[in-house]
Amino acid sequence: MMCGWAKEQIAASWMYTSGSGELEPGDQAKLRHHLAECAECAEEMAQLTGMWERLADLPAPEPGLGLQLRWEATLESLGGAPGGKRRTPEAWRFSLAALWPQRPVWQAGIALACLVVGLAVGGRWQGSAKSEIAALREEVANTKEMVALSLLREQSPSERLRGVDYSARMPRIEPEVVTALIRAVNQDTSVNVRLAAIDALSRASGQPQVRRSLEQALDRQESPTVQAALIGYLVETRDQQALGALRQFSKRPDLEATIRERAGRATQQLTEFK
Amino acid sequence: MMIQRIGVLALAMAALVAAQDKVTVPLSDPSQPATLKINQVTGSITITAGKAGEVVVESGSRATSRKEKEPVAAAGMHRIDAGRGGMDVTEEHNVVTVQTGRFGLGGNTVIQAPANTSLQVKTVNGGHIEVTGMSGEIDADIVNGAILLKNVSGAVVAHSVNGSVTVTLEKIAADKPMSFTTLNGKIDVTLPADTKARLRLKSDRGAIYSDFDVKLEQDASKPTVEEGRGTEGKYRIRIDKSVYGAINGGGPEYRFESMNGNIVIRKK
Repeated sequence: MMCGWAKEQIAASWMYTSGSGELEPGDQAKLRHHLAECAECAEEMAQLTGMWERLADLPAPEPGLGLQLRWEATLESLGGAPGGKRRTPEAWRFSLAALWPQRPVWQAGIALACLVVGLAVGGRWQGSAKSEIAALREEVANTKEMVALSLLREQSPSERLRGVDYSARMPRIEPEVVTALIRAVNQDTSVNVRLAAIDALSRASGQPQVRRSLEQALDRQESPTVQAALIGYLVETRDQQALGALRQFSKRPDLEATIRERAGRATQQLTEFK
Repeated sequence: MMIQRIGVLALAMAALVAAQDKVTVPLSDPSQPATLKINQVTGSITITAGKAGEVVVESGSRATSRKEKEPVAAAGMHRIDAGRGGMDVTEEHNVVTVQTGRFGLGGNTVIQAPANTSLQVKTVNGGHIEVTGMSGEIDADIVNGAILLKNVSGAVVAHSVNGSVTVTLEKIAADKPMSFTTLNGKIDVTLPADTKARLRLKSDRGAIYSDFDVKLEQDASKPTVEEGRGTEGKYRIRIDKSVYGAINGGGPEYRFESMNGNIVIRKK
């Protein structure tokens, strides 16, 4: 039990003897007494003493010539022109040191305060900036979506085309826009708007419901131009499920000869993709 | 709300009936541009720029235009019913809607409207849609016939199933998309030389010509551009699928699509 205490004091004793540590006078006597009694601690003390002495014997590394030259150059540059009124580094150090509190409690307090303020400001700024950017992005996306949807309801076909074009340029087609485009394919009075909507929807072909909607749209179309565009779309998706819709469509009695021929060719192409 | 409804079913004036029905409709607000809607099943539609503030509609049914033979029993008499003509013209808030012919089936219709009127014109069979000198938006759709738009300005959306689409644009409305499509016909569009547009070109079985400097976008479809100048001194671009190209740096999208016909885009 005493040994544990003594081992702690050995280091303190060495610090003390080297002139940089503190050791209570009572503790010093107590340690010396214990070392006389305990062989283990005495041996450790002897080993440490030997090590410290050997460390002290190590030659101090001599600075190289390069270091000396660099040091002199640095001094020269800091010193400025002779007779100049520049304040010396020592003067700076003095004035800055005067501002810095001497008591460690105050120093720690200031450091802690800086840390807390930094964390609070940084955290809030980062958090608010991230959420602001996200909110802004969402707002822009919503506005674009609203613009596209409102343009698709316009009276003028040119404006509706603009709506389709707008939605095609959006980075991601939102479900509401997809619904509006499918509605345009099925119901728009202008064939040109229907064709543009089919093109815009080809970007959302990854969604099975879009492919199904356009399969169903094929059977509803009266315009041969739109029929041809939808057949082209279904071939491009290479979706085998479209085969049923194409075969059924080919049986329609009111088809133009070119469309019937094209539907037949599309059925063949899709079968070959299998 | 001001609604003007003019139904012309000529019951008297038999001499007029034998010729054509003609109606002049004043606009609710002559200072504002009007919209003209006409949707018929048969017959041609011809629209020209007329006087400001009014729309004049003339309709001659296909039957009367072919000069029906009078039955022998009616020799020396004049007809007092409406024949197969007749029309219904409605004006509401500067929107003029025209139905012509018996049961709204239509006939050969000639309309004069203020130049800045926007048009929504549809017909199915027999004839053509011809528009001259108008400067509003034009939406023209025909199934069996050609579309011919001469010296028009603004934005055009035109579609024919079995006919050609020929358009000469004097001026274009900036930032408005246009579309020219046909299934079994050729497309011939003349644009002002300074038109800025992004062209979407597609012809399944035809070729595409233009004397514009078309900057083709790098696309997966990889069109083949023929070296040298082909016929009529035009540059030829042969493609399999639709392809995009910009003229004068690009702008709104102009769609040119024909399944079985050539496409020609001319510089004015």
